[in-house]
Amino acid sequence: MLVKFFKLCLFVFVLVSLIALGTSVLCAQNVELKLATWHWTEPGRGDALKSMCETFTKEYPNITIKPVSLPYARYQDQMMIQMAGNEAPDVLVASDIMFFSFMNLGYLLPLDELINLKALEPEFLDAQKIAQINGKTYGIATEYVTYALLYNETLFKEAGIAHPPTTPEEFLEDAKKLTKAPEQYALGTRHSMNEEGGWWYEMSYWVEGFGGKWTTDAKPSVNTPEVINGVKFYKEMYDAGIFPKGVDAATYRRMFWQGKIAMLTDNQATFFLALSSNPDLNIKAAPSPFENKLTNAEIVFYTIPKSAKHPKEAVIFLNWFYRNLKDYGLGVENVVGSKSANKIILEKLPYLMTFVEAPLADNGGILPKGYETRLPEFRHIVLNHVTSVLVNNADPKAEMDAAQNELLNLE
Amino acid sequence: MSIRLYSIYLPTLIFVLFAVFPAYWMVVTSLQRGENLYIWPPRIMPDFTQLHVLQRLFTTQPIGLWLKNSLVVSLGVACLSILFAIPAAFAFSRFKFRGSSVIQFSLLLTQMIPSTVIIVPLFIIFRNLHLLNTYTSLILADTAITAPITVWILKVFFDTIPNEIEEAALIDGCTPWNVLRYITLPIAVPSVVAGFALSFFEAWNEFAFALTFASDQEMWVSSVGMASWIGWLTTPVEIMMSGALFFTIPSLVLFLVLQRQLISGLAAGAVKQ
Amino acid sequence: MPRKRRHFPSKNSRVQRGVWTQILPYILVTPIVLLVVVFVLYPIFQSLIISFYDSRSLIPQVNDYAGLKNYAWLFTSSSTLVTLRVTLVYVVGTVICSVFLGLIAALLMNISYRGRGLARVAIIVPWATPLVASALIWFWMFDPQYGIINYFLHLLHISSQGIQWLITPQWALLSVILVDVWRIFPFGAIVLLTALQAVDANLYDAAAVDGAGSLSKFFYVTLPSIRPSLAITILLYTIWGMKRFDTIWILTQGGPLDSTGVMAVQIYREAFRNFRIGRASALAIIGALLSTIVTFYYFRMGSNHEKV
Repeated sequence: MLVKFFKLCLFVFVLVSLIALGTSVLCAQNVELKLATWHWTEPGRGDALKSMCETFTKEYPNITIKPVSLPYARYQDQMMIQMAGNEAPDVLVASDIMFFSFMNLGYLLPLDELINLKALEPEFLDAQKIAQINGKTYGIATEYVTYALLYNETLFKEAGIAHPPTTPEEFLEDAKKLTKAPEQYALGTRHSMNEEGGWWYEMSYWVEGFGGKWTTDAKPSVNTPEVINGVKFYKEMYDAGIFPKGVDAATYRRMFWQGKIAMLTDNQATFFLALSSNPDLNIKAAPSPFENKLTNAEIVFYTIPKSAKHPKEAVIFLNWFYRNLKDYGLGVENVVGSKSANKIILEKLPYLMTFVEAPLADNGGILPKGYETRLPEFRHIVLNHVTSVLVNNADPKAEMDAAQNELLNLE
Repeated sequence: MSIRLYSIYLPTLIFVLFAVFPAYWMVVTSLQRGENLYIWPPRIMPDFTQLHVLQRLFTTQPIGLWLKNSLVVSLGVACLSILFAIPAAFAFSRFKFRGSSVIQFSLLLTQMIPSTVIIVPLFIIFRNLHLLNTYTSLILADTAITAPITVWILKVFFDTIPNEIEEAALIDGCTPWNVLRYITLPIAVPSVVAGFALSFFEAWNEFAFALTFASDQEMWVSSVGMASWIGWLTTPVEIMMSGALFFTIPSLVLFLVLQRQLISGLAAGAVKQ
Repeated sequence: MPRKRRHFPSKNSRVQRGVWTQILPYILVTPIVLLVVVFVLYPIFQSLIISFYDSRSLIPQVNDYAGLKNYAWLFTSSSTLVTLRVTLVYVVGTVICSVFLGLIAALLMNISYRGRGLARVAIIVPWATPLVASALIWFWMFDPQYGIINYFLHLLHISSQGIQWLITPQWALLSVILVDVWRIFPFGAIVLLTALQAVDANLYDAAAVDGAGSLSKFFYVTLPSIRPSLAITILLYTIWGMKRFDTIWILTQGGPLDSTGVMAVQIYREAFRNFRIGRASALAIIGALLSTIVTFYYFRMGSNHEKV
């Protein structure tokens, strides 16, 4: 009886597999362009992207866009696997961290011959120059999020603080006034290895604020006095208890929307997400609390993999996409995609100028020049030593010297 | 009564609490007003006024699709595992043949390597077989991992069934096939059910293979679908937790149905006559 | 003409010479062997080959051949020792606790009492809950400010400050072990439960006649009877412990200070963060070798037992 049941199951699943196989074979009529990005499931951006793709198909009826959607945490891994296995999508969206790795492994098509880049040039953001390596362009920068000090004006007023801090010392003073643990905290920040990637943004932000650079002349420089001061300051913040510990970014961002956290060093996307989650929130953006007001950026590139099955159609899409970017009609109006899109958004919300005006740290701040393709190893070493400072009260100078040593000996 | 209380009910209660509390906490977390999440002391009871939030789960996410995909794959894996494992376990247990140990060891070898290193070669194999984004690839890959475990569970159980019954039947003129069907398997029902349930659970929760070989949104299984909720910017906690609870239910229902089969008094009594 | 005897050889008798009996076992194992060879063993073999190459791409080219370089790096790197130590503690911790809990749970599930069906289903919940969600809820329960665990510690007056579970090297490994033990003990419970079913009731009767109490019955009847299943459970837990990845990655990503950097985590990091698939494969092969040693030990113990 059991055996009969199992035979039945076997039959059923073979049938189902054949069906599944069959349907995928049938759809080979039109060109199906695979567009891979993690944006598909994001609030606002996902819907905008979908409607853009529908509009595109109306103009080019023989090309449909097939979303390749992957969870952000595994996006880079999966793209690496797909490109290594020659199953690449046709249009691949890559953040700057991924972009360098993909490009270094020769996975991306140079676009100079395929797209009339000169015609698109007036719209390009400054970040576009990062996509030019050895005279070839490997991607088009379509997004550019920068970091600023987001603050809750209501909480500031309650604590009697007139204006957002402009120096680290002021920042710490204000933070202490704003912290009433556990109901309220002054800051939300990533600070542990389980969010290594995100923590790197924060660490780079503070270190740059003190004038530090992760690399100088393409060599590691993590034990310069400026970097050490940055680490020391981070330790001060950690010890002062101004931010909730062991809490991940998703959680503290939520606390920010609820008005339980007074400040974030975060990007426009978070800013608008907060506003859309809680329209009553009285938040503004201010320049970084440093003298040099430097900030980080994350740049998003649209690229075409070398093993794309439909490169010609991909090129058509990219051209169209970039020209129509300003009509994005995004729900989350933070995406600063092209110069004209910039203008439209800024006319609506002038205080966003903070994000646009902030001077960018070297290479966007998070990619150490000379170590772009080795960022994960670089950051793992540095952050491990910073963790030592934070949880084991190790001496910052000793730890950063050790980190420098390890980096210099990296094979 | 008090002996039963202390030696059975109390420990069982402790186990049940330990096992179930995190799931209960998932209920509490998903049914909570946003502003009541980050407070001290934390609220212990769920807020039932928030039930409407669960509705969002079903209206905004393709839950039905993920459920279907997961069911197809997991049932396929469970069935296939049993189909492959029963003959093999029977062979290992009842026969002495050259290569038996080597084969048994190589089955165990399949359990020793993290999926990280075999995922790229497997991806290429499935790509070459044109099996990417099909149920077949997931079923085959998952079964290749769960079948060996099932073999071991069955083999160990078969070993405890004395030969005398089978040999008696054979002397009486029974074919080996009928012996298997009418004598051995009925006694071995608990282990077959256990193998089925465990393979189902493994496949149900499997993530790495599902993500890599069936990355098309139409083919997403529940584990991949839920992972997609962990965004770059934020994770909707209520959706995550309520989705997780929803996808726990099929496994629990299956187990509820099967658990009585796990206990069969047949084995104990079989030798008596 | 003598009829060919279609007879199973019983385990302790000589192999019968019938042709059918000789080839039957091979036929029986062919399906699973085929499946496993094509979809697991061949990729493992490829992984072995890759371990002799050093390449930034996930698929090395011919000129990336590097001989034993990866293994040399493994044997001389201090991080390998840390990885091995952490893996050892993690595996021993999870195996002991899971087997212990699984055994007790199996004994409890074996007894007949009202409501046992539901109790059994309840005990299975950790195994049935989707992994990602379980990891996330434990992450939340471990939250130093708002988590329920620190709240209970506070209520029980054990600690007013609470413990920073996942971000302190001292506590992170313990936390991760707790979560995984919670998740995996039901597997052992199910396997041992089926084993308990096979225990011959006659043995209990005989022991009772000899005047044995419950505890004696357990140690002298139950345990020896379920020994094979117990052994396979311990073995499987051990070799799985070496490859467990997902919960640890979600909870700590191997940190802080690599205090939860078990082998599988480091393998993933080498493959997908450092882009050194060769090293990752080498580490995986070393892990498999260690598992193999454990397995041989298990087989030897098993065969020793049979001789008795």
